[in-house]
Order: sequence, then structure tokens, then C-alpha cells
Amino acid sequence: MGLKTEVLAWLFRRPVTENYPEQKKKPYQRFRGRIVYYSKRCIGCRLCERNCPVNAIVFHEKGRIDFDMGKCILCGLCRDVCPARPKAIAFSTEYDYSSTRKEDLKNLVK
Amino acid sequence: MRVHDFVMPVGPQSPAIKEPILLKVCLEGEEVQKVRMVTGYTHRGIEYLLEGKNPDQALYVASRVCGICSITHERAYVRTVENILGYDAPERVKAIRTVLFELERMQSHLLWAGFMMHEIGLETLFNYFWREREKVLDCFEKITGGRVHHNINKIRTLRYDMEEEDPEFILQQVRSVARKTRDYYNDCMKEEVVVSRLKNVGTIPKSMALEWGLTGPIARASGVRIDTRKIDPYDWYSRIDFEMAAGKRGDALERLKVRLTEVMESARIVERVLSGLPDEKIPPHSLSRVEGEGHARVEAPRGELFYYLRFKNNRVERAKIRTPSFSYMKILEELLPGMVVGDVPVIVASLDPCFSCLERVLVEKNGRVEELREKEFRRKYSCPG
Repeated sequence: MGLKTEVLAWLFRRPVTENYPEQKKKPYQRFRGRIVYYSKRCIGCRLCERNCPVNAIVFHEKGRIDFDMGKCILCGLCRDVCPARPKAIAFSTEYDYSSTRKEDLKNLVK
Repeated sequence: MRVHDFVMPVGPQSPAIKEPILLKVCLEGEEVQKVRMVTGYTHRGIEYLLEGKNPDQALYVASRVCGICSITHERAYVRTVENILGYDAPERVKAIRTVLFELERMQSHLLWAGFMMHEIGLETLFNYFWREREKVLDCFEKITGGRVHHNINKIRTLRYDMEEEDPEFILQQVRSVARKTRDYYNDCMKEEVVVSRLKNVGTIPKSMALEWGLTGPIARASGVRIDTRKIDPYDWYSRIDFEMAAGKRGDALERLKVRLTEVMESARIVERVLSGLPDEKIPPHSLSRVEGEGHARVEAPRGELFYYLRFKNNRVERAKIRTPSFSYMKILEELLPGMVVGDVPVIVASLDPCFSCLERVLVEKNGRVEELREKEFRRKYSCPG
């Protein structure tokens, strides 16, 4: 199929782009979005804090950890090293959490 | 040295060149006489950032050297560490790594092809190429959980195994991409606008390519048959028979040909690997302990990528990364003179430079940044040649 046919065919099709703020694309299940911290499952081993490559995790006490999503590079190492079962750290599929205020970039605690 | 009439700065923020580089172009009318290249706008000191990290942390920093070919940096890092450990990964891990590696090459070349079309003013083809690229990114998001930074490789293993329906999904997407790419390739070669704009522009003869030590698609477009996947095979490249795309003339059109051919060849490699995907369990991941030094290389979409790592007390003591863009950016100062000024963005784009990969040497002393040529640098800082 030549380029002309392609151009003509796409005149009668719906665009592949989406109206982003109104229609949000649903990410796949493995997508790494904003970190969710389950404070009740945490055993307080500090492995996540020690292994974070960008020091985005600050440990206060068992059940109280700060995740700075402004620093986080979403590599997923904190979840991988978490020894608690079920894991105390999970990734949600929320991706549009950018904000003008630093307080909004703190972790979601459940 | 002759002083030319007019010096035009191209970049670091220019609508023609999308990445931060400053080209001081000396013009005599429309013709370029002399070019001076200034870099350093995206220098992040990433080799220093790697130092002091443990092997598992450093993997994620290494994968962020480049924003387009994240998997290749991960793979080069993992290959280096596995070389040090003397570890041979299971066959299924190797196969999945090969698939991901080729998908990365496809999306990188499609991104470049779209960008090239944008540079010569063909916005329609730009959108078409990027629409195809989106299918590859969907594959990545489904398998690895990331669209740009995938972070699926682990030392010794992978983070995720493929699900049962994944190979079918990848095959479907990849076949569709390959079919469309073939159509666009044929259109590009017939299209007068593309051919007249790219033919005999930025020509690198074979002798020059050898002299500058070029690798990757640029060298192959000039007729140098070099490919790390062939000369130093890793993963499944030794088991799989694939063709090395090659050109002759070494101009921008030839580079377009080589890259689009590689997209189609990568699709074939993915199909072949997925048809023989071994059925076994991948090992679970755990934190590693690494001591000693080692090096490895892989074939990134832009050429040969080299890693050297030295570990001490389970921390990275020294890291040296040689990215493909690093080797060939200086060639611009030789390529551009004699061309008309309208061809400058086309030539820069046709090399597919990646500046966040490239920026390595910038000497800062007493608050002053000094730029040194290779000889001066060696003499001043007494590096062994």
C-alpha cells in the first residue's frame, strides 16, 4: 500500500491519539506509577531505605516511611527487596501526579 | 586562521536541532566554511553518580544514562557484572533479553526515522513512523511495566517472566510494525522530496569511517561491516542467523536505508526467538555481591556501547562508559564545511546523536570550565595515550 492510499484511508478513520485529560489511557497491570505504602504490613527492616538508588526514601519508624515522589525514579528496587509478605510497598497505576506543591508528592499511605 | 564573514550559532536551543548542542557555524554566503562544536549542556556526571552504589542500585542509575536506549545500558551493565561473576544465564532469560533488545532497536530507529522526516519537512511520515513506534512501546509497557525506562534486567535474571499470552501479543505488534515500515521504506525511496534532500548529503566515505572508528548504522551505511552482535555475540545472537544491513555511499539516504532495514531485520529476529522460546522457570532475583573488575560491550541502536566497572567492598569504585555517540560527534566539524546552511540540521539529525549519552569530558577547575582537545587533555592531565 502506497503512501497516498494510506493518507486517504486515514481520512475516514478515527485518530489514534486520545483527548488526554478527559480520556485517560488505562495502563497495563505491570505499570509502575505512584508508590503505595501499606503501613500495617511494614516490618521496619529499612532495606528499602538502604537500597534506594536516589535516596528518595526516609525511614522514621516502623509504619512511618516517607517516599519523595519528586526524587523517585520508579525503578522498583524498594518493592523488590521488601521482605514482608504481602509486600508493604506496591506501585499503583496512577501516573499523572505532577504538582506545583512539594507536599502533594508525598507517598500514598494505606 | 581566516576570519569569516558571519558566525551563526545553531543551538543550544534551536528549532532545527532538538538536542542541546551549540554549533558555531562560520558562513561565507550560504556555504559553511568552518564549524566549532560546543557541548556540555546536559553533563550530569553520571559516572560519578554510579560510584559508591551497590551493584543492584547502580543498575538503575546506569539505565538512565540514555533516555532512548535504556535496555542497552541495562544489558551492558548486566553483561559486565555477569562477566565478573562468571555467570551464564539460563536460556529463557537470554531469549527474553534478545527480544527486548531488538524491540529497543526498533523503537529507537523508528523514533529517528520520524525525526528525520520532520527535519526535511515531511510531517505526515513523521506522524506515521511515531504511530508505529507506539506499538513497540505498548509491548514494552505490557512486559516490563515501563514505556521508556524498562528496568526489567536484573543481575543473573529478569524481574518478570513473560506471561503466556505475551509472545502472541508481541508477534502481532511486531508483524504490523514490520509491514508498515516496509511500506514506508518503499515510499521513501520513491519519494522525490526525500531522495533529493538526503542523497549526497553528509557523505562519510569508507576510509573516513574507518579512520574515525565509527560503529553502528553509520559505519554500516559507509560500507564497514561491523556489528557487535556478530563479532562478539551475546544472548541468542550466536544461535540466530540474521543479516547485517549494509550500504555503500555513506550519505544520509543510505543511513535511512540501513536503519529501516534494521527495523525489519529486528522484527525477523524477534519472530525467530519467540518461535523457539524455551519453556523453563527463570531464577528468582536476590541482592548480589560483586568484587573485582570487568568490561563488556553490546550493540546499541547507535553503535557499540562499552562498559568498564570496578567493584570494591561490594560498591562501584570506578565506572567508565563509552557510548556510541561519543565516538562520532566530533566528525561534524569535518562533515559540515562545504555544505549549505540548510543541510546542517539534516546532517546532524542523520547521525542520530544522543547528547545525554555523549557528554563525558568537561574539565572544571577553579570555577572555570575549560574545553580541551584530546592531545592537550592527555598532556595536561598526564593520561597515558
